[in-house]
Amino acid sequence: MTGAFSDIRVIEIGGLETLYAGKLLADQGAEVILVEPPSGHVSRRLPPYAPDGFDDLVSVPFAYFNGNKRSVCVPLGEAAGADMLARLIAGADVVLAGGRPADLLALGISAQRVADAAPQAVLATVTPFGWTGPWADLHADDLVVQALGGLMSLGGYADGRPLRPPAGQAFIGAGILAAVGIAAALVNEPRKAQHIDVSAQETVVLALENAAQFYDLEGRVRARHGGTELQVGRGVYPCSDGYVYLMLGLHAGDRFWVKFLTWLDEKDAEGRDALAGDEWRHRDYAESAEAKAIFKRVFEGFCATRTKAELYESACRRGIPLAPVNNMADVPHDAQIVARQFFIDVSSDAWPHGPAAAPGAPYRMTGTPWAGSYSPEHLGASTEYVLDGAR
Amino acid sequence: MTNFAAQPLSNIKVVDFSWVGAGSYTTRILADLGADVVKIESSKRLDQIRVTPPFKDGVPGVNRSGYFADRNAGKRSIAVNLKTSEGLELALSLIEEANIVANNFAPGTMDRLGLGYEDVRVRRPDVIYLEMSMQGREGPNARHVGYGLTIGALAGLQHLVGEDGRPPIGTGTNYPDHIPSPGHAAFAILSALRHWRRTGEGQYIEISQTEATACVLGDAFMAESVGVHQDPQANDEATAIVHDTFRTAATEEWIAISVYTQDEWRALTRVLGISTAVDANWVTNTAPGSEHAVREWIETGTTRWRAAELMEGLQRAGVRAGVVQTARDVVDSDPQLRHRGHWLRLPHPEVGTFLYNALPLRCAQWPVAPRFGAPCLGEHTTQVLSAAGLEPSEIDKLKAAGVLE
Repeated sequence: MTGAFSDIRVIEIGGLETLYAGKLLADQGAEVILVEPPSGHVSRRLPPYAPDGFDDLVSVPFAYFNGNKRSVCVPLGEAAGADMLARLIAGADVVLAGGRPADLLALGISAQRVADAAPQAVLATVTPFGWTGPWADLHADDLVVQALGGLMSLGGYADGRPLRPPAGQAFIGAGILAAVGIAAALVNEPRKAQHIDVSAQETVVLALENAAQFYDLEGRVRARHGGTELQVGRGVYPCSDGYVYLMLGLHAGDRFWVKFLTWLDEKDAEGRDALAGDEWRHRDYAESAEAKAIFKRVFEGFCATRTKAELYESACRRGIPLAPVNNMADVPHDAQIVARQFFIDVSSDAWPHGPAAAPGAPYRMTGTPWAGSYSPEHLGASTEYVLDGAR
Repeated sequence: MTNFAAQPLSNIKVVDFSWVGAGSYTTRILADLGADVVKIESSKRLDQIRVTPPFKDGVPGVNRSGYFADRNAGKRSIAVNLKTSEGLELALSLIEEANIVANNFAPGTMDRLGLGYEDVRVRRPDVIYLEMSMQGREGPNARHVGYGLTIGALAGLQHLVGEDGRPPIGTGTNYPDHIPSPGHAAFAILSALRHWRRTGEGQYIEISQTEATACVLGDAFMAESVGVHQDPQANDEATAIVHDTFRTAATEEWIAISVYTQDEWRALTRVLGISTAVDANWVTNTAPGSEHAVREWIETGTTRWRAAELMEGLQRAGVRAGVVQTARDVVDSDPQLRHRGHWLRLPHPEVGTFLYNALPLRCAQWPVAPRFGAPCLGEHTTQVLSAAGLEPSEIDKLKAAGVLE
């Protein structure tokens, strides 16, 4: 079985903006060719670095995002480079370009140029703010896009400064939506030239959940609340070996509250009588400072002598929505993750800085299964193959 | 006049059993690409987001939630009691004419209803069937109850945001529901659609939302596995000289600034009017634990400006800077989002209008937009069933028998 895009060649060029889109397409069978200048694609220098020696494959993000792509070295900025790029584009089914529009135009990439060179190609641009508009050429990175997208106003401690989501999410998210747009453009034949114009800022705005609607419908501007609970039983609580996340979801009724009280009863939790009254089932009380303080005291006391794993197992057996706050070392050992064989082993044959373990498939499909790999190429390893090849 | 006929999925039909978060956003994406999405609902088994705030004017009601609206634009709603044999048969006959069936119920739910993949395949052999659960269809924890926030905790997302010595706080949102889960699911469905166009074959797609979320953190997992321990990093970035959020002249107005080169550092200090005699190396070589001193020093400059003016001044000097915008900013005053047409106001029969996000992609050759706003519960029952060939008297009989609620 081959992937849905096994007949598709993607020319990928630019900065960090395109990487996850290219990976998604490669892992569904596309031949994805990463165009790199002689100094190497900027992602080759992205930390963290594997600790065992320095070469052009040492970057862990490079291995993760580009492990299933070919590398072609093109002296961009020189005449020979412009020629090579033109040849690559002419043979492309998809041109996936990322960065500021001004920088891409300087490379000779525009909807018109691509359509002229490859009349049936899909051009997908992943830019910080979109291909046109008053902010199109602003100087930005992931942090600035997250800020202007509004998500950072929701992130951080209530008494602290705005904190960003995990690194790179603005462009990773935009990459997922870019792959969606490219896939949509490739569903139907015959193909004609199309420009899919993706904005990372707009992607971030999608992640605001209901904040925009809260402002529009109730005039309320949601703010960050990290480190506090919005209501009892909703937040992070310390336990003996880390933290757990509890989500009793009292806004949707009290069906978990009853199970929760039963749990505390069965475990003889100290101080649980303070939670027995009827007032706890009323939203106003559940959101009061007094209620939160009482709940915190009782529940943190209960968790203090129990591990993440213990609390997780005990709560879930009773149908209570609690989860361990897993770190990166915990997740691969989670019983469910292990049973699903979600992580895959990356041998040192595949990646010289291995062995390593990486996430496998984000989806499981019976007809066109995920076919990812983590065997990144040295700079320009496929230059001859691609440029001297049949196309 | 928007040319909806040019949308790539304009000939595609979806029978949509999804609800709450990730599932609903997946089929919203398909609707924005042109698909005809029929959402199967029931007042007996209400989509919980219908009764989740914010509500129009703060008044609760199953048709008044803006949260529900945003994730359900472009879908038609029919009310069907799937526990009745007539209701089940109605669903299956709609599926016969559809290309895609989607759900994000707990594992086993659809099978118990008689709507599992094998059941559906009998009626529509080339169906593309999506099943999206919290942690996957099988396995020791497959039946655990969860939400976007618990998935964030399980998948490592929560852990990665925070400050040393304080509890980890994640993004402050149900991030998995909004980007990783629906995004990967929509990509998988579109891949399946392409395969179907080329071969005539459907397929079964199964997604664990926890796994889909872990995939966007893949480099962190890989780094951990080669011994580079991943702890919450506040706003730090190893390759940057400055990379953080700073106070400005107004309370609760913040600015994000990133500086990577000596030139950018000089530009920053010049614009801020703080000492340009200080070398960037002093900043990068700050002893651990003294980062706040650097931040405070930079803030002696940033607090002399309002955020918008400072952003403009820094951008003109070639420095990456952006206001930390609030929901009010992005809705009311962001000029780029206005240029992109990000905010859609679509009519709604009960509420007047709702505010919707547009997808972050545009295409000159075809519109990316929902054709209409979110539905009231069961709003299109008669319309859909008539189009499926039922006579008005048959529909009335089903209503009387309690099948259509």
